[in-house]
Order: sequence, then structure tokens, then C-alpha cells
Amino acid sequence: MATFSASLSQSRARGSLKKKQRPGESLIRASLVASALVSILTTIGIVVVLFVEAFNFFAAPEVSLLEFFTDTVWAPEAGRVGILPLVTATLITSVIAIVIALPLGLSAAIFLSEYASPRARAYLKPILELLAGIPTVVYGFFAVTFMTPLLKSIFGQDTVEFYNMASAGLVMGIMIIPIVASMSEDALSAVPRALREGSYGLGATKLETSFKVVLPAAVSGIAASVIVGISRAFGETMIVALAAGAGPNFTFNPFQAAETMTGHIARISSGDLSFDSLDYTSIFSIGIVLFFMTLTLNIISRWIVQRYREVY
Amino acid sequence: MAMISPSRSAEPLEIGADPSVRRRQRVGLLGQAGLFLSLVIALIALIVLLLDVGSRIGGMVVYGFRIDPLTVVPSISLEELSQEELLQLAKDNIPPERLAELPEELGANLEDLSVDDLLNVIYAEVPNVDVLTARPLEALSDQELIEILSQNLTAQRYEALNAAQPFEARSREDLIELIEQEVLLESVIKTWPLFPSLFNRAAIEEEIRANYPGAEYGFRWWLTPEFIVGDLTTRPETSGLRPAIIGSVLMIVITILFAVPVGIATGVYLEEFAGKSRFSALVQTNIYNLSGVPSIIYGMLGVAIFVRALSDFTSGAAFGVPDPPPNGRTIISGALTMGLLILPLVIINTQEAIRAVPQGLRDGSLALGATKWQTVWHHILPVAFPSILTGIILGISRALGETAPLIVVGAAAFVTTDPSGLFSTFTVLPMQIYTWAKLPADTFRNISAAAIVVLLVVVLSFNLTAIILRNRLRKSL
Repeated sequence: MATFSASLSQSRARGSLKKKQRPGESLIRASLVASALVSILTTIGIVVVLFVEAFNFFAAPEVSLLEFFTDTVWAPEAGRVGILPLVTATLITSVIAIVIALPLGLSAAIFLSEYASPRARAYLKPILELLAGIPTVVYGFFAVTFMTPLLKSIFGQDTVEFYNMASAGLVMGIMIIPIVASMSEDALSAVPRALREGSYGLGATKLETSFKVVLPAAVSGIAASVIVGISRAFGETMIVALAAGAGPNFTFNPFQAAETMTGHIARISSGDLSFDSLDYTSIFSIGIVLFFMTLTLNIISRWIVQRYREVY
Repeated sequence: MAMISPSRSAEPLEIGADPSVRRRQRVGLLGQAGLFLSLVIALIALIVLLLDVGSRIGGMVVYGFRIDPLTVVPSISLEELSQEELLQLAKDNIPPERLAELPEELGANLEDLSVDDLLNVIYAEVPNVDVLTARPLEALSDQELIEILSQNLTAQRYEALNAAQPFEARSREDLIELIEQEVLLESVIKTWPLFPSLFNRAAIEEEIRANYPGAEYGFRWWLTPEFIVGDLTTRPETSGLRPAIIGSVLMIVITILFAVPVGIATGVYLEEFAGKSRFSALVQTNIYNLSGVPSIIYGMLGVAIFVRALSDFTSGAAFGVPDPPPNGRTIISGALTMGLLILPLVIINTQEAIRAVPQGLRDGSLALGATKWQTVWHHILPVAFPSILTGIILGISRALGETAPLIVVGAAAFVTTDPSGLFSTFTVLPMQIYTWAKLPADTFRNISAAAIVVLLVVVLSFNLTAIILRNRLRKSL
């Protein structure tokens, strides 16, 4: 207190109440801004790197942009660079994953938010979160050592190939369940209690209330969770690298092997990939397609949340 | 929703009088059971996953030799045998009908041949002379056993073993064991899962005796202390994890040193300093978008920037490191890539933590004349720290388990030496799991599963700590 009044009288003596210049404070502020710039630079770095290397790829004489989006064979060393087989494999594994994850994840979320007692919820939610924390390479191991043999024994040794999209997709679905469940649960819990009470008051059962009142009210959050789930499935690498296939294959049969975009990038980059090769630049052309696919989904999911959010 | 239809009768409505009520309640119960079931399915998936991994960390195995013992064990020399012995050998081992034809072909009876001619006949007519003249390891003298070791091991390995304990001082059993392990490459040729091996051992042993007569067999744990601290080798029976564990630890430490200060600083800036400027909105949107970028894309950023463009720095050449690697596929590149990957996670958690600090604390501090930074450093960060820590722990556990970016950045698939610093080539735990899981042999899946257990114990205990910490904080606020 004494020092405070002393400094006050000092500045009065100087006749100025102007804000004191503090070089230390400015320095700290500058370093904080610099830190914030790191994340901006990361984005710029990603975009620049992808564009530059992809440009180098398309500048190669054997590559044409039209062929890139229409040809159904991906074999850069043979001069065929159609990304379609990689894209279809990504789409097929992701569709299988979301067909598994959406009903299971959403049901789990409804149960947790509407039915479970607070006590049960206190134990069940952390378990779901723990499931979400398992590294994806472990899910990949699970796909090869458990899901593939299981599918083979159900559908026949000859129908199901050793690498197949179904196994990778199913396990990816299991991996995405916690993501869908956790985000949907947040959305359902945010629906105000009055809506439920009103529904009960009109004589609806708990199930009717959950599906016809709470679910529609939380639909934007749930849609967002599904889109984030799909985006995760597009970008997931380890499961498909281990279980889906070891070569591009243009097929719609989920029991056949086919490499996804991420799986192909992972296989081509393992080992000492030469920086001068067409293989090296080719992974960036795949990367840029993948980047914009996931970015679009993420932007849509955030837009849905902001646009359709019911504010209570 | 026509739930009650009062128009059906003029009488006052009784509860449950509408027949649809009973049906709707039944549907409600069924629906509840269905919802519960899907939660159970998710949990069963988790349990099956853990059992699948667990069933491979131990079990019955049958051993066999990768190298045929006949090729290393000195055989009896035929030249040292007398004529009678050779004659006996020929009569015992040449098929009878062939034996009957021979005199005519040779123009003489076997008994009349010279030792040299007899030897030629034996070499020409007796199948598998090697087998015939082979001796079991047990029949050799100590000196001969040591001779085998010195001839078949690399000079380096031989010296190392000799230095550990001189061969002359070792017991016979020890020497034979050494030859089986090091020269004949004794290996596991068949494995069984853990649970049948524990509970149905007799049946498996019977099967082994029927299918692998004379083979050595037994119960073997794959997840052992020796596995965790051992060297990486190309053989699943002898390989360990130490270089991968050291690689993971080193990489995580650098990742933390980079991502935590930058992440907290960004969070502090956005919450306390930036206000509602256009720049802060840009940074904020950018962070949300970054958190949705697939991890493999970060790997591609890492390989183009850290490994290639900055290779002089990341290989250590610019710092005068002796004998630098040819490119930047080093720990520091991996760690920086991982740091960028977990940065959004750390930032978002820091922001949430700071937002939860009561406004009164800031006002009080500022009112007493503290500067903005003093307020942040002395009042806001200490209060928010436990919550920030939760985010950091989640980030660490994410970085520990992430594999895809490191494949692209170029964690080496096979590293035999421990990483020695920032600029050495490296491998990490999940990378090793991936490499082993890719190989079709059962034994590689066994050690892959053992490595998974090590990784899961670390990652899940990190996650559990974070979850418990967060729940405590929620209660105390």
C-alpha cells in the first residue's frame, strides 16, 4: 500500500498519469503472438507443401489432370495415375464404418443421456472415452488378427481375401463409435429438461420422448458428430494400412483387397523413399485430395452446428 | 402424436383404458433394451479386442531349428573307416535289389573291392550319406563344440560371448544350448493361443507329440522383462523393445518441450490478450480446422519441411554433429511433426481451462495494479494449471500412440542401436507394432501383441489419469 501511494505521488509529481511503458510486457505479448502464429504457419505450410509437390507431380510429362480424376488404374511407375481406385476404397471402408458406428454410437448416446442413472453414467462415459484413447494401430492389429479370420469363417475362406475392405471398415466403425457417442451425448444432454417434461406431461413414454422430442431437438449436434466420424474414417490410416489391402484395386466388392488413399500413402512412404521419384510427388497429389475432402466435411459440420443449433 | 383419443367414448377416461397404451409401453421397454444392448456391444468390442491381444502374449510353442544341424556338426569321416566297416555300411544302407545288381555292374563282388572303390560305391549308391554319418551334438567333445561356435559365429559375436564367460569354463549343456540358439537358430515353428494353453494343455501336448515327434516344446511367455529391455533383432524369438521404448520416450520429451509452451502461450493469447480482433478469429477458426486434419497429412508436412527443406538442421549437419545422417529422418523431425499434431489439442484445452477461471480473480489482480501478464502468470495460470495439465496428458497419450505421421516422416523400420540424441534415426513403439503386425508369421504377431500391451498400459494409464483429474476438477468447481 505504501509503495502504491508512493508511486502515485511520484507520477503526480511528474504531472503525468499516462500509461507506463513496459518493455517486458510488450516482449511477452510479442512472444504470445508469435506462438499463435505457429498454428497459422502450420496451415500455410500444409497447403503450400501439398500444392507445390502436387504441382511437381502434375508437371511430370506422364501425368494429366483429366486422367487423374477419371482413370481407374493407379500405377505411377507404369504411367497410369487415376486416383479413382484409391477414392472408392476410402469411400467403401468409410461407409461400412459409419453404417456400424452411427446406429451403435447414437443408441449408446441416447441410453447414456436419457436412461442411465447418474451413477452408471459416471462409470460408462469414462469407459467410452478410454475406448477412444486406444491407438489406431492396435485396432489395425485387431482387424488383421481377429476380424479377418472371423469374416473368413463366416463367409468362406475363398470369398474373403486375406486383405479386405470389410474387415478394415468394420473395425474402423468400432473405433468411431466412441466419437459419435460422445459428441451426440453432449448434444442430447444440452436439450433443456422442460422439453422432456412437456412431452411426459402429454403422456408420451420415455422412448417416444427420446426419439420424437429430444432427438429432433439435438439433430444438429448429432449430424455434426456423424460428419466428424466420416472425416475421421477418411483420414484413418493404420487400420486400412494393415487390413484393407496392399495395392490399389478398383472394386466394389468389400471382401476384396483394395488400398485406400491413406493406406497407399503409408505403404509408399515406408522405407527410404527417394525424394526425386514420381512416387514421392504422387503421395502429395493424393494428400491434397484427402485434405480437401476432410476439410470440406469439417467445415460442413461446424456450419451445421452454428446454423441449425437450437439456442435455448 | 395421437396419444389419447378421447373421442372413442363419452365415458371419463381411465388410465390404461386405451389399448394402445399397453402396446406403447411394451415398445418403450423393448426400445430401452435395444439402446442398452448397443452400449453393451460397444463394450464387448473393447473386451474382445483386449482378449485378442491378451491371447497372444503367451502360449504353448514347438521349437525347431532354422539351420539343419547336419550342415554344422562335423560328421564321421568315411575315410577313417576300415574295409570291413565300409563293407558293413554299404550292405546295411544300399537297398537289397540294388545290392544284387551291383556285382554285375562293377564286374566284381563288393568284398573284392579296394577301400577307395568301396568309398566311391558308397558315395554313389547310399542316399543321404550326410545323415548316415552325422553325430548328435551330445556325442561331440567340448573342444568340438567350441570349434563349431568359432566357425559359425561372426568374430564379433564370438568374442562377446567369450568375454561374457570363457567357453572353456562353460558347462557342456551351456555350450550345446549356445549352439542351438546362436548357430542353429532355434526358433518357434508353431504357437498356440494363451487360454487353451493354460486350460487345455494336455490336449495340445498330445497334438504336438503326434504332429512333431521328437520336437522340443513348452509354454512360453512372449511378454517378458527380457523382451522389454532387449535389443531389436530380426528374429521374433530373441527380439526386444528397448530401442523403440527409448525412441518413444525421447521423442515425447522433445514433443512436450515444443508443443506445451507454444500451446499454452497461444491459448493465453487468445483468451486474455487478443480480445475480439479479426486476427484472433482467424487463429481460432484455423485451430479448429487443424484439429480435423488427418494425422498422415501432418506426416507429409513433416517430410517436406523438416526432413527435406530443413535437413541441414534436422540431421544435425548445421550443428557440426559428427557423421550426420544423409537426410532429416531423425528424432527431432518426428518430434516436431508430433508437436504440430497435438498443438490444437493443447491450445483448445488451455482455452477451456482459462475460460473456467472466475472473472473476479482477474478483476481483483488488475485492480491492485498488476499488469496483464502479472495477472496471467501469478493468478490465472496457477488456477487453470490442473485443467491445462489434463489437456497436456491427453496430448502426450495421443502422440505416444500415433503412427501414421511417423511412417511418412520416416521412423526407420529396423533400428538396431539405441537412439543417441536428437539427430539419430529412430523407431517408436507403435511403429514397431505396425512393422511386426504386417508380417504374416504367428510369432511376429505374438511379439506385436506383447508390444501392444506395453503401449496400452502406458497410453491408457495416461488417459485414465486425465479423466480422473478432470472429473475431480469438475466436482471442485
